[in-house]
Amino acid sequence: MTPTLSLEDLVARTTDLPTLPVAALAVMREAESSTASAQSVAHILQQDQSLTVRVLRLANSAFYGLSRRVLDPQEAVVILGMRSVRNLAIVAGTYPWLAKPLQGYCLGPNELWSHSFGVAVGAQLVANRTENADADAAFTAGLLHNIGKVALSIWLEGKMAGLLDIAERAGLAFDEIERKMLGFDHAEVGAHLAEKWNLPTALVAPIRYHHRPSAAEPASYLVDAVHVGDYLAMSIGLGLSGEGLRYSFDGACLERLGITSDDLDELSLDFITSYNQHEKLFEEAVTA
Amino acid sequence: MRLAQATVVNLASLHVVKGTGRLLCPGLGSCLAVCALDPVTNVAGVAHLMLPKAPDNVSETLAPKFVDSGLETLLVKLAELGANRANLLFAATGGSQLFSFGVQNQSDLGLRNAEAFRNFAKTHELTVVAADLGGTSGRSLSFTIDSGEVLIRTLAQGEMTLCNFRSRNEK
Repeated sequence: MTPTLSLEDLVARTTDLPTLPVAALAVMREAESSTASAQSVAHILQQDQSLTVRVLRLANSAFYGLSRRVLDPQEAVVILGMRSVRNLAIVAGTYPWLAKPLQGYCLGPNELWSHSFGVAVGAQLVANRTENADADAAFTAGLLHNIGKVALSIWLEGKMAGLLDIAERAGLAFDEIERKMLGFDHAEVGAHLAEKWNLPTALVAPIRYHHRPSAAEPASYLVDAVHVGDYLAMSIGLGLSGEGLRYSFDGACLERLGITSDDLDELSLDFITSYNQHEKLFEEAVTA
Repeated sequence: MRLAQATVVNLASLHVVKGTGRLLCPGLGSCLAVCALDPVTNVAGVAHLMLPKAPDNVSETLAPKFVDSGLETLLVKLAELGANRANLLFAATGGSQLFSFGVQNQSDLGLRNAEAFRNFAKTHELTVVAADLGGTSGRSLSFTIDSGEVLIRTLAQGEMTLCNFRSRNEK
């Protein structure tokens, strides 16, 4: 296969591209601002009824164990905290297309969701260990890292077996095969979409470099955290698509993050606990 | 044909049963699924293990997360249900290499899990009927106790029989 389309052409010709709801983006931006308050976040939240319902549902879930029902969004923001509301807004905004099956990557319903949520939780855990790191940004970057697959999937339908065969014979990682065959990979497509959404550059970089963290200039803990989060999610088999584990791990990012092999095993244990604690909770809040 | 009732054995847990049923381990990456059957007493079990080595004095709750302590626990639970150690047959799958295809990487979790299983099996003289370990694909395992059939499924290769404990025509 010789590359025949530019990345921009491919995106322009792809229907049903993922989008991020305006309210979700606005909640994210407000929660990050230095002047944010429960009142200001709740005000933005209330502009999207379905988002408000989901946040209230989470606040009233068994996880928070409240003895009375919360009906006021502002109170919900106080109870859940700015971080949870921000993360929930992004999850609620992305879940509809993350939960869809992607034939091109041999991903069944919910498989991209479970993988992406796993990477979000993993990246957040890594960021929590890093001084001055923004763990919320790591969560968002992890959740969005594979958005390019949503756009590329239709172009890969029926081609996975052939691509894997080429990858096997050439000894190449799957993202390398995508670049060889298409001229770009799903990470670059995802970064292009993120730029179209006007996401901050700091969030675009982890999407673009999640398989090649050392290529990011300057080096970024967010890129490294998402790369390690991807490792953690794949280690427990979350959403291993047709290409499975056919990716390279860049050990240099562990050095940059100050994580040893023993730390990585410890992170794996924390990861499974945190993932199990939050995945169903968030999914139920955004789907029930 | 009526399918036997299925029990999903989640990550970092194990399940033992006497009689009939089907035990499933979906989504194995670098983790291992180890299944066991005593075909005489019909006691069976599956452990879904995550990391190779338990820390010292690991608690009972955490034990199923690790290959060494998880398999120790599996042997104890099987014996409690009446399995005879001499009759027990084992099969294992999983341990895919994480992000290091084609390269021997000693820090790779999948390789370390597979190695921990082999060491445990050797030390404890387990009768391992079949093992499909390593590679770069995610796998799922299905073990039907009545028939003794152990199936594995990968996205790339579809479903294949790993072994049949009762007929021992393992692959």
